[in-house]
Parts: sequence; structure tokens; C-alpha cells
Amino acid sequence: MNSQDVKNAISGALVVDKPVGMTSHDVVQVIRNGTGLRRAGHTGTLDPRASGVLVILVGPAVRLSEYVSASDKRYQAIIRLGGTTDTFDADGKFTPSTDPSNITEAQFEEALQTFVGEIEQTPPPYSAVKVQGRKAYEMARKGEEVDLEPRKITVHHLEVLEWTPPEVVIDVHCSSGTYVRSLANDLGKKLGCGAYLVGLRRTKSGRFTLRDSVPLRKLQEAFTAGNWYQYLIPAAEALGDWPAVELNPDEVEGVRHGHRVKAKDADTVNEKVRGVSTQGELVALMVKMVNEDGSIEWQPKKVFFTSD
Amino acid sequence: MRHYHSLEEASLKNSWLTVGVFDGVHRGHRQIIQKLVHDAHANGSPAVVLTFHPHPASVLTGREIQCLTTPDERAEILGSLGVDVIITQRFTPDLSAVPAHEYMSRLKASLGLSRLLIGYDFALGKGREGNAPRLTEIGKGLGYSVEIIPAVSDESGVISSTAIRKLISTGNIAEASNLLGYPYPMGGLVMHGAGRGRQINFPTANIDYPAQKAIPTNGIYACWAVLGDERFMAATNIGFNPTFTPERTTPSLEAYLLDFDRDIYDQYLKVEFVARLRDEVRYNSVEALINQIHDDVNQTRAILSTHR
Repeated sequence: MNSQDVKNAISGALVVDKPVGMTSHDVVQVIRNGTGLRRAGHTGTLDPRASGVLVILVGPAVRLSEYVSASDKRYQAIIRLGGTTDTFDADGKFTPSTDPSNITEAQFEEALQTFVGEIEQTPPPYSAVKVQGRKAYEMARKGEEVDLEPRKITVHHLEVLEWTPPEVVIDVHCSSGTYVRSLANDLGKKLGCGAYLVGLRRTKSGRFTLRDSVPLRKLQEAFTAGNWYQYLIPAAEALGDWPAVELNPDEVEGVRHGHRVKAKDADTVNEKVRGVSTQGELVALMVKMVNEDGSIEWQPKKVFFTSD
Repeated sequence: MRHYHSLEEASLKNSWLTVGVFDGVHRGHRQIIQKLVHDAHANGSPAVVLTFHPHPASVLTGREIQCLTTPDERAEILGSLGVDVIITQRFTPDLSAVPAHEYMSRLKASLGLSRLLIGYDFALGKGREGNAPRLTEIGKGLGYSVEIIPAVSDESGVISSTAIRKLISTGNIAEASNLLGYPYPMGGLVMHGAGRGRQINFPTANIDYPAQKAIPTNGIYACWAVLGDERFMAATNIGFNPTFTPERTTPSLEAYLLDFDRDIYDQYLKVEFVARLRDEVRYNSVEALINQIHDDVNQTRAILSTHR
């Protein structure tokens, strides 16, 4: 192989634990410089003020974003009770509110659960959301009235992880487009004591969790030492642990030719699974689809074959 | 599916093989590939495709050929058809000078070649001496058999990659997609552009597409944009932005995603071309351009709502 072929062969995911203060673009640049590969991209922006899982695909694997990214997000959020800010986070102008010390964990929990499900959420005034073609934060900065429309989002799960008032740590699993800052502010309103977001850490992106991720500083050290390759998750493995659905031999044959096969359970449409033969061999990545006549099928998205 | 970038990496036994460029893996190619896969598997043998990059015709003539598929895209489509092993061999003037007998000996050694499927007009080796009768004769000595596939045609006549490339370069995207059997895709990382779209409230994603891809002729197209596991309608501009930069020489690929306001820099974005809307025109005023874009967006929405 010549050097171009070697470069082509580097293909996979680097899962980074992004520190607070860096943009996702900054991290991509660090990885482009460290690996010498121009083709590096991430699978979903993480706010500069947030830390946590940022998945970077490098080499030909950048094309796999279709298979490794998921539009739902999971965060650990630290919320502080007893005041509000104009940005809904610790960067904004603080206004004290009522003393939160009489709020019990049970009351907090009850209020929290009212935000689970498909809900309407108004983005924060200091956000990139556009109002009549202008960014909300630009208007807010100029002191203009920002009239933001509420939008539909889905909150899959909310859970108290640490109850240490006035600070509470919660686990948030939500759809993309959710503002955890707005969630904190709305929660404060509901409790009557005011609340704002003081810390945000992404714990999961697609199938990758903090456990899979390497702190950026450690990765930078590995670039210097020349052994960063140990952190590269090869493309095939990056597609890893989707739930498995067993296919009978006829279905295997059909899927191998790109045909759809019957599925069950319409409420998990768009679910992604691995189609596995009765011998346990990975046959295809498949997505659940509903046909016009209401029947449900697995659509093969990517078909795999083994050579042995 | 395994994708190798040289013959030496592959160490196979008893392979059933076809050899060709298969650019685009269009409907005609797929008939040969599906036959290969079906017959090889019925015989318990791996189905193997040997292909080349860069395009042999561009190496031999020195004329640049813009391809329908990058080597990775081609391997992915071949894999989805059931091919077990794809070998993308680097095509060089040296390789083209290897005599047919020597080349076939190499294939016998690396692939354990057992059966070779080739088109009736196929030829390889120095001076194209390895035509169907010659390869059959060589096979008697080396121990492989040859099956000759007649010209494949259907209601569209004999499908050729050259014809599809021409359709794309003249903007006949619908017919190109029909012959390919899938909507023509172009993808790449979203790069920072000039930000002019942002100034006129039509922020576009500037896609860094692979240099070797065939580019539809300049104009505006209705596309489906694939971002991670989500799909969005997009009005896509290919061209030189004549209103702003009359001096530009390589066309840009910029997608305006409808109903979308997220930051997607450094993410992989793919557009699938569905229909061509109009030529790229130089406007005398930004207002005229904005009015036209509003029209493009409405047309895109109308076309794509009937083209899932």
C-alpha cells in the first residue's frame, strides 16, 4: 500500500469527552491536526458551555454518520433553585427569587415529571433560534423584545440523580431541539422558586456513552506520543450494539437482496436494529417502516457479508 | 462485506469473481452482480468483485473522468447487493501493461479464483489481449472456468455509466436516477462558507464534496438532505453564485434545508437529487434573488411532498 492507501484505511470513530469552553468545531480542528486527516466531522454539535460526549468520525467513516448518529440526546444537568437569569443559565444577569429551602425532594420530583412526554417549549431569548430571520440572541443583546414561538419537543425521561438543594442533578433524555436551559427555567416557574442551569454534560450520543469516551487532553497527549490509534473505534465496531432481530434463512436471503421483511409493533417506527441470522451472523442494519397500507416492515439500510 | 484496497490484502479460497469498473453500480451492473451473488452462494463460494480506482479510462487517456460513485460508495452499494468481498485495486499505467496470463495468475494466487463472470465485450491485460476467448483458454491452464454474460438491456436499452454521467452533467437528474435505480447522491462535510446566504436569511450548508464525483450542471435542484438519522427537504444550488462571485471556477454545492435552524458545521450532510428546478441566473439585485429563492423553496416543497 502507498501512503494514500494507508490514509484511506484509517476509518472510524474517536469518541471525545469535550471540556467546557471549547466549541465542537475547535475539537474537530484538534483532531484534524492530530491525525493529519482533513476528513473529520462530528455527529451533533455540543454547546461550548457543555461538556461530555462528542463523536468524531474520521476518514471514509464520516459517511457512516447516517448510521451512528441518533437525534435523541442524553444529558446530566445541574440546576440551581432560588433565582432566575435572563439567559436561563449561569452566564446571565441574576435575579433572586423566593427561598427554595421549603421545597422537598418529593415536590421537586412531582414537578419534574410533568415535563415528560411531548411538550411545548419556548426557546431561551439568548439562543440561535431565528425570529423573523434574525437570531434571538442578537435581538436580546440589543435589548429588543424577543417574541419566541413555543415548539413541540419530546422529553423521554427525567430523573433526579442527586438531591443537594439548592442544587439538583438530573438525568435528561430528550429529542434534538430541546433546550435544557428552558427546561430548568420552566421547572423553576412551576416550583415557584425560580431555577437556572449551572452545568450541562452530555452523557450519551447515539450509542456512545461517557464510558466509551476519552478526555480530549488524553487524546492530545496520544497525538504527541504517536499512539492515538488505540482510541480509534473501527468503522464496523462503531455500528456496534443496535438491538438484534433474528432472521430466518428465507428472510436472510431476501434482506441480502435488499428486500424488506415483515416486522411487528408499529409504535417503534424508525427503530434501528441489526438483522442477525440463526447462526448469529450480522446480515444487515435495518430500520422499521410503516407502508401505506399500514403493514410494518424492516427496510435493510446496510447489508453485510462475511467472506469466510 | 469486506472492502480491500489491494489484492495482497485479500486471501481467499474458491472465489467467484467479476471484474469491472462498475461506476454507479447502475441497474445494468446490478443484473450481473446479482447473478454472481446468487450463483456463488448457491455453490457455497464467496462472491467477489474486483474493481479499480482511478477510472482506467482516465489513467490511460489522461482525461479526467468524474465518477458516479467514489470507491467507498461503490463498495457500499455492491455490499448491499450481497457481494462478500470488494477489492478496489489502484489502476496505474504499470498495471495496464501486465500481460493477461500474469494478471490471471495473480488473481488465482490471491483469490483462489474458481469461476470468472465477464461481459461478452470484456477485455483486460496489456493491449486488451485478455478477451473472453483468451481468458477462457488461460483458465484451462490455471484452473478456473469462465462464464460470458450477454449484453444486459431492458426497456431503457443498454445502460451505460458514460450515458448516466452525461445525463448528470446536462442536469437530466430524473433520467439519471432512473437508470441508476436510486437518486444520485452527493455528500460531504459541511464547511464554513462565505456566509452570504446567512446575510439574506437563507443560510446554506456548504458541502465539501469529493473532487472525483460527477457534478450535475449548474442550477437549482430539489433534493432530500440526509443528516444523521433525519431527512429534510432542501433547495440545492450548484454553481458559482454569479450574483456575488462572478470569478469562481469550481462549482460549489450549497443546500438550503427547509424548516431548519440548527448549526451543522463539521457534520456530514448528503443530498439526493430529485428534480432540477432552473438554471443558475445572475440577478441584478439581491431582492430579485431573494424572491427567486422563495419560489425555489415553494417548488421544492411541492415536488418533494410527492417524492418520498
